[in-house]
Amino acid sequence: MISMDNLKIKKIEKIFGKDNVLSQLEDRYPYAFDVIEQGDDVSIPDIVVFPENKTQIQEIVKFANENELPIIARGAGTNQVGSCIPKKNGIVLHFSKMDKILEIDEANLNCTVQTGAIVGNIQNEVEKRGLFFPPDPSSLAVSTIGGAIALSASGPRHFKYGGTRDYIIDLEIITATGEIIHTSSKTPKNVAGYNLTQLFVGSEGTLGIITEATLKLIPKPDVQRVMLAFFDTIEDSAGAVSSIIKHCLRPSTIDLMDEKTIETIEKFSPTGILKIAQACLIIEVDGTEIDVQDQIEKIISVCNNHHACEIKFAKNQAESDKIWFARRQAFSSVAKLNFDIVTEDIVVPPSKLVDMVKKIQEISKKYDLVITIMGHSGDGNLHPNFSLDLRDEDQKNRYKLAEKEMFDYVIELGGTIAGEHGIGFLKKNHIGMVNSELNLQFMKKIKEVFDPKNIFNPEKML
Amino acid sequence: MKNFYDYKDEIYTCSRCGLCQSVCPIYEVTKKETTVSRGFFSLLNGIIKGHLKFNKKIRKNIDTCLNCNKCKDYCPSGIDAEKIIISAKIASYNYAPLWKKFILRGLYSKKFLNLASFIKLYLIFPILNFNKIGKILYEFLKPNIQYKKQSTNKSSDLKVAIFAGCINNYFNPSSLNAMKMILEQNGIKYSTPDFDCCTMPAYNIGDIENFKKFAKKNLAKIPAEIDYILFDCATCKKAFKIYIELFEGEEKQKAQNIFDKCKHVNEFLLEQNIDLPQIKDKAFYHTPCHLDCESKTIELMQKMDIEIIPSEKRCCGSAGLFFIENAKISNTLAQKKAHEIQASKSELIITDCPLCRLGLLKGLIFDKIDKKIVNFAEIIAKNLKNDTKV
Repeated sequence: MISMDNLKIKKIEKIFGKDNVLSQLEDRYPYAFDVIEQGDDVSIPDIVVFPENKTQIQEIVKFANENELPIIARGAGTNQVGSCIPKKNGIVLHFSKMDKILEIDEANLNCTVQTGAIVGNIQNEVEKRGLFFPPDPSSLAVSTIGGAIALSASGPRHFKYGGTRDYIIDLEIITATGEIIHTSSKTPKNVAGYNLTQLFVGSEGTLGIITEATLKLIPKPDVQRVMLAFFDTIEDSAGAVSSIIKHCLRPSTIDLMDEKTIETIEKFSPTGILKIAQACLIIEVDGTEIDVQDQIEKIISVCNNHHACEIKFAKNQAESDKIWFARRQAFSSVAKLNFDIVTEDIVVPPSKLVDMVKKIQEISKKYDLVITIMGHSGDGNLHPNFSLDLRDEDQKNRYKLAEKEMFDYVIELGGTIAGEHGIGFLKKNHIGMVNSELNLQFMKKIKEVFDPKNIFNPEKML
Repeated sequence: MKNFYDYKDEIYTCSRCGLCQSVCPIYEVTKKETTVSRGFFSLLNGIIKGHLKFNKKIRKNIDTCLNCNKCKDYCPSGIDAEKIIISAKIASYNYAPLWKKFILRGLYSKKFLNLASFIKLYLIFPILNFNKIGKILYEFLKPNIQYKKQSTNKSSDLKVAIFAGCINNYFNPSSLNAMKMILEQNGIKYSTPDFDCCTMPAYNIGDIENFKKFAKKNLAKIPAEIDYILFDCATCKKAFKIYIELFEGEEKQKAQNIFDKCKHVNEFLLEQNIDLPQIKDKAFYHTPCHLDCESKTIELMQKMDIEIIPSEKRCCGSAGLFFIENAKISNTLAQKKAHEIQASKSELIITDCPLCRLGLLKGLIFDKIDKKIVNFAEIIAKNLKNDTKV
């Protein structure tokens, strides 16, 4: 194990203060991990630091660049693709202490936050002022805005509102040479030059360190209502999704759970509102009271046309909370099924949803693996959850084959293997499935321009 | 009781989703993954894999856990972090700080406790009253309020035994006095067997030998013909629940039977449906992390017309010897609590645990907020006294 020499440690302690540096093995070890299971191949960072201001980050980046040390930005470490794993050891910057909301500018409908600000906190703070920041990754209670930007995260509301990438006005970045740049201006529009902002969104910490972000805000919808529609066949549920899209109805979310997911929720935390059926759609509608009522009526009629076997809708906030509670139980229930849970993140054209779901069910049988399916059906984004024990070599191999077959089919349908979780380390070998050789060459050149010494999050994405 | 390596699979089950970071009161202060369940599980998994070995450093990290159980209630994988962390503390007992082991020797000895009680420590502290720590300890230990019963014609056939926690028994018996008075006022006869310390501190430090030794002693002292064993301390009651896991077969069943009779005084008062005074006030209630009858306590308060001001359920930071070992974190937690109390604008601040009272006091005195904290039983006793209609 490479470890940092004392001189370097002393220098880093001088930048951050002793309290903000972890150099002992037992303190660094937890930072070798994020969500993914790595088996026995563990890369432990040489040092972990807790920046409190951008000057410190500038100094550490300069130091890392001079010494050619890897530098890995870490928010809450909740990404699903091993993006925070220090594959080449080096310096981990944990941004837990840079979590402030610096300004909420109501006159210009934006807010500026530090990179470690927690997404859920940002939402709560702006909502107190009647404003809305829609991106809703499921980890928002802990995940940071810096992480959400770096991984271009989104959630159920993407269907109507878009994801993190659609709400970034300006980013403050520290470059490999330790200089500060702004990718845009704090104005609603700016087309002067290449769109550097969007280049950094989803760059997974490989191009520079995001220190601050200015986010776009919109008015908060007056009311939100949620409903459940159960279907006897996957085809019917997918048909309902297509019709909703075709009729230009815009619920904020159309999420899907398959029978296996519903069964698992009922097994571990019975909710009293779910019905065992082939498929269940969770549809949330928001807007003005009149608009919402109108939409709900139309959606109910669409679901009925597609033979929904039961429709339940929340008449008040308590019932709505109950439904969302059931939805939130989905992941935790599936997590209880076995030792490991691997969540995939595939996207197909929404019109191909049925084919994809059927294929996953077929793969589940073929490889004898438990796969529960949930996802954001309105966007064609599915999260098949493999529930297994990765310590078992046989299961692991079957999973690898199943994943490959699933990805091949996704590409056949014109889809992609990453919708909102990123590529990171885990899917690095598959990035070529969705990108041509020329695409990848351009990407590598971009990386070289920003980070010639390859210090920023090496071994990720490309 | 399972040993550390028996938890291998549970430790592996942690999917490292990181959601515990959103509820862990320690992480909220330190912002370091070395002091939150996900980090602990990474370390423990590292030990199982052979990457790491138990040592002082790992012990120091896991010793920051308050056992507040917040993460257990929130964990998507349903992992019982407390049990696993305790098993790790047992496995790394050799690396526990010596001073902690030394303090515990005192708790194990009734002679020492009696001596400490006899000296009446609070008399020493007025000298230190000018300094904040002295003031906290003085306030904490001083008020020994007696609650005298009025004449009553009530009688009851119930036979109860009181398990008095060490702090309430030896250092500040006000809450114990209140509990006794309420029982007497309702004609309920009680005995006070000569129990030892529940030794939860031993459990928390991983001294399983002494914990088991005192568990046996305490269980043996439960009178045969008894309806209930009453607790004025949430943690002592929790100890009796854990006693069950220490034994096998017949002994286990016996411990289970005894635990079935264990009641926190709040749930006892509610279930026995005794006459309660009407308070008609708003109160700030701090729920001790170890209290297992929160909903019943709230029901009891509602019956007394006490309106509870909603507050965040956060640990006060006392947690056994935590407040000495991790003074900085503990003080920050206590001050957060004090800010909440200040914001609630309530004059009535209630809790149900002597150490929580210390935590709250500490926060208030550090922040120069002049408010008193009372045990819930004392509110009842005090108002029963004024209620002459009995």
